This record gives sequence, C-alpha cells and structure tokens, in this order.
Amino acid sequence: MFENLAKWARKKSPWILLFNSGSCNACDIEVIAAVTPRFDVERFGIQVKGSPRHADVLVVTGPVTRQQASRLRRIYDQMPDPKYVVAMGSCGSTGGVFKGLYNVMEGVDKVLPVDAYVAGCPPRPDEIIDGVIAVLGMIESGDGRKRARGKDPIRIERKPLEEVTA
Amino acid sequence: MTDENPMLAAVKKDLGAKAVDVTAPRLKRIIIATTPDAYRDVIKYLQDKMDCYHLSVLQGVDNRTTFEVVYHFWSDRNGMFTVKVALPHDKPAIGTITDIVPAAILYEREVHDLFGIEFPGHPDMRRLLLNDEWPKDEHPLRKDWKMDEKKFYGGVKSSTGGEKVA
Repeated sequence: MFENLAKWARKKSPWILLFNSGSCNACDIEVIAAVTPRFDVERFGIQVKGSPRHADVLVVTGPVTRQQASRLRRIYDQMPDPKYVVAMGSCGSTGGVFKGLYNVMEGVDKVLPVDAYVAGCPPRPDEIIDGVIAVLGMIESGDGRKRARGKDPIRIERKPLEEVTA
Repeated sequence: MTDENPMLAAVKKDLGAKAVDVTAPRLKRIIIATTPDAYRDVIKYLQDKMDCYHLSVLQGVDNRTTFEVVYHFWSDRNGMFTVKVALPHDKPAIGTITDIVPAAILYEREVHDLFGIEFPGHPDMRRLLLNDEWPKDEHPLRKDWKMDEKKFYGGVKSSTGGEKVA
C-alpha cells in the first residue's frame, strides 16, 4: 500500500537535476527551453531542482571531463534512491566530437549507470521530454532498479520532423 | 619585397646579432627568430621601441627535434611581432618573462602544463588546464605523448578496469 503510494508520488513529480559535465552549453539551453511554458513539462510534474537531494532524475550533458567525473559521481551518490540517469546529447551518450581526447571520459556511462540515452546535437526539447518520460515508464513498471544498473537502457533517437510536428 | 618594408629594415638594424633571423611575410607582420640568451633583450626592445605593450598569445610548439616558444606581441601602431625561441628537446627551459610582461603568467602555466617546458622564475607555477589527478610527467600536447592504458589519468576509478560501469 505504502509502496504504491510512493510509486505514484514519484511518477507524478519526477524532479530533475541538470548537470553540465563539460558540455558546450547547447544541451543546457535546450533543457532550459524544455522547461518553458511552450513545452509545459509541469503537466508531468517535472521540475528542475537545484539540489541532488531533492532530485529523482539526473540529466547529464557533456562528455564528462576527467576533472568533473568524480564530482558527477559524488552528486549521483547524494541522490536518494530510486534514482535515474538520462545521458543527454551525442557527447553525453558516446563522447561525441570529444571522443579520443586526453581530458574526457567519453560518455556518462563510463562514470554512472545510465537509464536513457537521448541522442542529438543538441536534442530538441521534445526529445529530452521523451527521455524523461521513458524513465517515468521505468518508475511505473518498477524495473527501474534492475535497469538502473545499466542493463538494457532506453535509447531515444531522433524522429523525422514531420512525425514530431504532426 | 623585403627591402621595401621599412619596419623590417629598422628591426634588422636595431637587433643586429640578437636576432637569428628576421622575416616579414607582409607589411606590419614581423617574425623574429632568436636565442634563449637574447630573447629578453628582443622583448624589451619591442616594448620600448616598437610600442608592443600587449602580449597577444604565448604558444609552445613541438617540432619533434626541438621545442619552440612563440611570443606574439601586438602594437596598435606597428602591427604584429612574433618572437620565436628554439629550445632543446630533452630539457626545455626558458626564463619567465612575467617580470617584464605580467600578462604571460597564465600562458606560461598553460605551456608548462601541456608541453612540459619549464619557466624558471615564474611566481605561481600551479597546474592550470590539466585535471588534479593527472600524472606529473605527462604532457599531452607533445608529439611523442601517448596515453598509457595502465595508468590512471583522473576521473573515476572503475572497478571493472575501464569497462562500462554496470
């Protein structure tokens, strides 16, 4: 009974935390655009929070520089369970154009278990929302814990524009 | 063409033996090659006589057999002056110019980080660009540098030995 209540509360108010791990800011701007009234993520209860202690979903942008990796890990450790990670953009997913450089870890999944990858450079706001909603589905089905150990993550790929605008 | 450039002739005449080679690809663009013994005099000459109060950038160059430190000075009146100093490859070191050009303080730290060129006399030779855990004697912009897979370069120590965190 209480489990169900907690699950319902989580699903109706997934608060997200945005973390820039050395990205070029394009992804961050798209996340900020995604929380504007035009896209209205409040209808899902999504809010951007300033503290990892209040967040359920960690949205990570950027290829994770070596300097930032331990900080990112610490922020992830500070989040209460159950927690979910969305790797945003080409850089967050694979390292992108920064792959092979001496100063990057090449993707969020080298540092954290990732639940959803959102491709794009940068992804459109609706794709970001798609990623977070996919994570909501994991909360609902309850296999978040299993998935959150990096097994079988969700991949959000770019749809043709007609499909998005239709 | 070179003889038509009055500035080139003046620089050649004033520097004399202090400059190994003076060239001018075009008007108001003078390139002076000099030695580690004479570079301070050349820079002082540029500051005093050629109105070069602005250090545009200070670079390191790895030519495989030698290192080169390249100072770019800008003057509103006289244009761009480049001072090139060649250094031996095994123990590259050149005295700091921060006492006569304070703007060089960050550039020298950067070149020290990435090329391993020493600047004796620098007041604050802390690490500037590389991350905190980066090994001491590794300089990623050197041509013969290669990442050693067994070494730890910073970031997160993975229990799976560089594999994805699962």
